[in-house]
Amino acid sequence: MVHAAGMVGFDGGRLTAGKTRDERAHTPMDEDAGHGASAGVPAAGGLEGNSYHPLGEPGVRHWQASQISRPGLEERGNIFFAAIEMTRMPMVVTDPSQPDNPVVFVNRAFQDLTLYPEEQILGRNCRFLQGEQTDPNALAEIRSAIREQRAVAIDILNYKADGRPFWNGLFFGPVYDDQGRLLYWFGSMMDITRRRVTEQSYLQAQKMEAIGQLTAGVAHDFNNLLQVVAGNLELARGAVDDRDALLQALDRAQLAGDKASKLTQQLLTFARKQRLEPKRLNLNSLVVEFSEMLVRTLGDQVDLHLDLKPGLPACTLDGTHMEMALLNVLINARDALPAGGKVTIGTSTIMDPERLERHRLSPGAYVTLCVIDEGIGMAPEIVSRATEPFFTTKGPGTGLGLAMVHGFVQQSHGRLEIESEPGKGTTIRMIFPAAGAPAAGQERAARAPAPGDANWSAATLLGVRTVLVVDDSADVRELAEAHLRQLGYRVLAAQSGEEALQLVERYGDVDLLFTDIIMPGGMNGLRLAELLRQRQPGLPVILTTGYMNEIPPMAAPGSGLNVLVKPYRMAELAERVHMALQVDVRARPALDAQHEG
Amino acid sequence: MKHVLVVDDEEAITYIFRRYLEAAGYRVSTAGDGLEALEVAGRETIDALVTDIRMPRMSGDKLIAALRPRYPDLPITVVSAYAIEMGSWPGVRVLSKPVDAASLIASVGAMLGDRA
Repeated sequence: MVHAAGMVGFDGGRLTAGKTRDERAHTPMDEDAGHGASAGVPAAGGLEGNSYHPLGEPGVRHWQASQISRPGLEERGNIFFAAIEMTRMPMVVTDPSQPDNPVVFVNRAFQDLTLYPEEQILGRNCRFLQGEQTDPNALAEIRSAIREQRAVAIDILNYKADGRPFWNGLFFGPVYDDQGRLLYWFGSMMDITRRRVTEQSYLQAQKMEAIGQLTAGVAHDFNNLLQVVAGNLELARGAVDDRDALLQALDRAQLAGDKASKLTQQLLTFARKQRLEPKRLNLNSLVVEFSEMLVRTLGDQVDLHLDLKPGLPACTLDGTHMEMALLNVLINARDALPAGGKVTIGTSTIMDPERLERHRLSPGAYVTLCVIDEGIGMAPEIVSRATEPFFTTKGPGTGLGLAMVHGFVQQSHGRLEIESEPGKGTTIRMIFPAAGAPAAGQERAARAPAPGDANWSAATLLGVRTVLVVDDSADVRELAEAHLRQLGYRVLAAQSGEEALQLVERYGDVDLLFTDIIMPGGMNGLRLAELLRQRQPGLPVILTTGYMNEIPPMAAPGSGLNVLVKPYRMAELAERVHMALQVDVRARPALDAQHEG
Repeated sequence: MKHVLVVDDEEAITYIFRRYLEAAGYRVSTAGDGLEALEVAGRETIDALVTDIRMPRMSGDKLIAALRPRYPDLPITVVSAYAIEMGSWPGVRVLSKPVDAASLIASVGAMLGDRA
């Protein structure tokens, strides 16, 4: 039975990233509550995820992890068992020591909510609740919590037995034995569909309002331009005998036509549908080369200062659009200094964990470009609307400047941050991923990538994952290769373990290994997986074989080892690869091997 | 000759409206925003107003409100690129951009004629 640990979630609060195992080791256990028979690590206001907080404030007293002295599910004679069967909060216990972490206990409320009878639940992995619309990111977060043995609270779309979806405000955490071995996972659920639906209609309403504003802005600006074009054409028609008047009308119509096409480009940039041609470039060089233009834009009243970090890593960006974005930000800085003053353009890097955390960035190396003014600043309500299209506080403004900058930065896989305070000034920060080693195939011979840093290849920046396919049969290998390419993966293919290792040496880390088990030569698939995992811990691996009896004993859950039996269908391969790649990218080790300059 | 004041923050537009209305026999003054328009209307007598709404410094609706005390019966034509934003005002006609010469002249003329 689940014991006092089963009370997790009752008296807590904020069901939102639990402490990791290491962190827990430094947190005093709450032993009084269990009278020595059980103990837990109190939440103590720590975050558990980004979910709904059903009980208000962050949880303080509820346990995020617990330790019990009497494992087993048989003890059902006490008040705690009755409480769990009586509560209307659905609860579930799974057993990670069994293959695929099956459910070993659900309470009555779980059955009421999901409409599955107990016999259809016990023995199955909880994923039977998932369906088509379940967010892969939420599943990735759940998997990473399981892998890291920490508590998590997350809102996830689940499905009842009759197929109806419901929003599940899920919380779960690990239960250990006296020796600290993982025994169970305890989960509690809550149907939060109604709240989610309300939220979504609110978001929808906001979206409609934003579209309304955009439409009004577009209509307004284009109608004005049409007025000029159509009006001048009409004037031209009345002036065919007056050559000068005719040419003047045509010139004016032409000018308005040019403005209209510029407006279209601005809208495309805002909508992140601009045709960009990203290249490796250094933002320091870009700023220096563009500085004459920047100084001219700022005028006599405003001084430009440069604070450029030496040895700045390169980025992969469209230079022209980058210049336009910088110019737009600089114009705003100038306008914020009506009496003149100083504007600073600075560059820096972000890669240490503390700064990554502060900017809520995934591990990696980033370059920032910021523009700082000590001008009039903006109130928070202006800051929050600053990137809205057609929102402007300036008399003759288009309202598209920061909207375009935001669109460009997003399309370039970066982030725009605005800090401002009325009377103090404004800092606009554009953060871009640093470009790693030159992408394979382009400058292949330049140098062998150091372990870890090849993941900033252009392909990775664009979200393309690399699958290493290893099989000694050319037919099988080429079929898998072609299919995975078609699905949008980058594929490296090798006919032996040795060749596979050479490819990884040459091209850098891969995201997934798909390998045959039995291969000629000294290295079988299992050994290859082992060697690659020494290099890349946690690398997802899919093994394949035509002989069932070759399958290794089921590895521990979460190890990422799984086996696809030949012959397999292509759809099956696609699904396995997709599933295996759904690990949380943030769990990757930080890339500290970034080169500067 | 009736005097028409044309107000728009786009010079390209006041230029066209000036040409339209001058061709129809009006004397035309132009202004780039509400404040400039108030200056013109304070300096000279105007017989009709053609104005945009969205303008820096002083918008069209504020201009109309500011002119009413001195010109309670002034015929006004609002030409807006997003006409829905202009509610209905007494003595104000609303046209949507783009507007052709005939419609603009007809509107201004009809309002002046109504009064005459």
